[in-house]
Amino acid sequence: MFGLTEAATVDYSQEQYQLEDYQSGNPRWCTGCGDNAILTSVQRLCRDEQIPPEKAVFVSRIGCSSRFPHYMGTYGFHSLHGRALPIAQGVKLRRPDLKVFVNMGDGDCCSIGTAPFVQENALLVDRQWQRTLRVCSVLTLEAKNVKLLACYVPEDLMWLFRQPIMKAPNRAELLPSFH
Amino acid sequence: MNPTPDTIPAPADADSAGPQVISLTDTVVEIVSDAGEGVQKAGVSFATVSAKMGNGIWTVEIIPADIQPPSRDPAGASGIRIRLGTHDISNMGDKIDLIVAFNEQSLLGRLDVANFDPNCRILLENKWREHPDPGIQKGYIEVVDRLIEEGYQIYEVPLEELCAEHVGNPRLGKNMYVLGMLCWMYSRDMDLARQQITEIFRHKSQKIIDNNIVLLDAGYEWAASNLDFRFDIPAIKTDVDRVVMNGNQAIALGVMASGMEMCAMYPITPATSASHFLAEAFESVGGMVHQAEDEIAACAVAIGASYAGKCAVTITSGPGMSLKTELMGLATMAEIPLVMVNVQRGGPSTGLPTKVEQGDLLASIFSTHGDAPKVVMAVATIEDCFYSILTARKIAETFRIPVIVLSDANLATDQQPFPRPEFSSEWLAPPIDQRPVQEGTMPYDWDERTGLSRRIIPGQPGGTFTVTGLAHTRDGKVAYAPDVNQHSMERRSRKLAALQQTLKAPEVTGEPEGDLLIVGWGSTKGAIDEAVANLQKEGLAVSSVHLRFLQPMASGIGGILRGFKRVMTVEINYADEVDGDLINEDNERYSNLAWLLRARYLIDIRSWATVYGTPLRPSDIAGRARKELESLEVEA
Repeated sequence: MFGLTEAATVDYSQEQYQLEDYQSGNPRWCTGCGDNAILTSVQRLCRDEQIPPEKAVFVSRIGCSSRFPHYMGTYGFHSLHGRALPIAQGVKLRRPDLKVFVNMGDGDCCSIGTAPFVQENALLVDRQWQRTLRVCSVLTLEAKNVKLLACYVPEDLMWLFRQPIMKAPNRAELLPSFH
Repeated sequence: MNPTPDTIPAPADADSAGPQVISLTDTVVEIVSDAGEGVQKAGVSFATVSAKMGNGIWTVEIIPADIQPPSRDPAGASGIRIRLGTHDISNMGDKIDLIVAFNEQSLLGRLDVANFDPNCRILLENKWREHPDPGIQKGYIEVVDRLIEEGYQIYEVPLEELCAEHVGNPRLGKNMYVLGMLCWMYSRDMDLARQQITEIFRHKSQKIIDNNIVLLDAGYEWAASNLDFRFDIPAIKTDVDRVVMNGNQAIALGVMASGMEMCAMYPITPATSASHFLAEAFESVGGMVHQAEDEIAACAVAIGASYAGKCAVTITSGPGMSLKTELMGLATMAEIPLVMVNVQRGGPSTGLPTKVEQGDLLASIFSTHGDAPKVVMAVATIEDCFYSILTARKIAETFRIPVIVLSDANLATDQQPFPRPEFSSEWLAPPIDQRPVQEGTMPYDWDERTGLSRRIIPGQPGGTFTVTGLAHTRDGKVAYAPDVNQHSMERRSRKLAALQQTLKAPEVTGEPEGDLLIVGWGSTKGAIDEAVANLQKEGLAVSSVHLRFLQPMASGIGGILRGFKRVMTVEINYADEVDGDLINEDNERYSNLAWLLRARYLIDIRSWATVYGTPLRPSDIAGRARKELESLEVEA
């Protein structure tokens, strides 16, 4: 270490949550599917933030991407088409101590789940959206034809939006459409 | 004012013997007006004062279907019916003994649909007699003449003119003036009446409270010096401390008393007032009311909160329940406790939003695709509304199952006193075991016999798992293997059987054997009991039984049904009537409860089911029972 003796270093690695703590089962997604990349990056995010696995809840709806919570070593709720957001809302409203994440796709954003999506965004705009935009760390990743946008919101509601690149060529165009 | 000697009583003379005092033990009073004239406030206050004095009461709101119907229209009559008795009252009764009407058209609206006692006293606002519109004048005079001809006792009262002596806008004050008049007529305690006014206007300014008390006192004084009759309706004094409220308030208080911490809802008539009541008080006991973007989301939020360890309730009516069915299936499949209150209204579709119906029983039991066991309970009284929620939560949490509590528009707005509930630790569900989860514990570790399993909630170390609405194994993993699905369906179903083993058989009112048994469920209990008591007094072998658990049903019901030559359900829902022409025994559609009883007990259950949108009258039930007894004799 720069300028320090060896005695001054401490190995914390054994006392930290490892990537394996956030893993569960073998994802049954197609080789090369963007979902694999999303899963890995979310697991890394959890590790980097050192979220206790039992304090995190991942809520999803249906479809193959919504198997997501099954592959997380955290609590999870694999629910119904379009209803992930209100279920997550219920969890968070009564258990603010939990870190609540929702993973959802274009169906939840713009089709069967439009109503909750609009409602939740309205809440965010009201309460914290402006602040969130400034402080959120945005991570983008391109895999195949899918663009991942993961907003880490300090109030620990996490959103993962998958959008086909064709529809959302860059983040700048994607974000304002959430208003 | 144009007094006519026939209809306006002479002011009480100081030398006269004073008003005629009529002794009563049971009477029905109505106040009707155009919508928005506040008569419900007056009626509810009158009933509450009476209940506090120890009288039995039952109120029914008369609500037009439109929010603002045209004024002076028979179909737009808005009002309240109060049945008042020396003893406890359990239903709306039969005939109107006294009615106060703010205009003659609203009165006509009631004449069309309600039974008037031949000696009914009618107090009628008479400003219409002098109305500038000759059409209105004429209409008024015609109705008054007709009523006099029919033998009713009409008292024309210049309500608005009298109120104008005390307040700037007499149209808004008439309700409290009438309350004062009623208080004199029925010898009510004026201190209680003044307290009641202070209570109902608690969110308003002191000036408004004072104005209303002035009107109350003025109405009382006017009645004392102008009316020639007065009623004595004594209360039986009891030491029991009683509370008075409507069914929706009782449900809301039940939610708070049960220890639930979340009510997720979306507004719908006639259920909304329960959530409104909660919104005012729930936070003070650590709860939360969440108004979601729609009925579906409301159910989803409740499921989310329950999943996270805080049992939640969602309160709705029929159309809302239809929307929530898919999520109820999720709650069944993922085994998440959920209490759902359905304050039934007329259906199908948007149907009769403000009217009573019991049409959602089968929908509650069988809705949701696939086999989704749910518990279905029905409340029969206002007191039940309170206690059933406590039971519902305990069942929901113990059995990890959705519990539907069926109330209806009749109970929602009706007021009834009942003994003040005394808190008991039994009210609360046991706390959820929050210790770290042992390795190897599974989220659906079903007991082979009962299907019960330990509920693990997020936040517990060592228990991380995912719940799912897909077919799954004991460890919560998605699995479509045939034996997995068969086995897990059996386990979920067995929970109902396990609950059924704990249910008490319902009590029969009357002899355990006889000619006719009337079976009811829900808000019809009071009317059925009264009808059966009257029939029994006539020496007829009629009994009744009232079911509170509809799914599952307690053991012993079959034995009760078989003790009678004929069994008839009485329900407010639709059933075909066999007419010997198109409708016959091969295509007849049964009422909700008749379907269930026929299927389970293989008995030829008859039913009397109507969808007039009104609560049942004891006399109508008794009439139908007599008809059934006659046909029994003919067959014999």
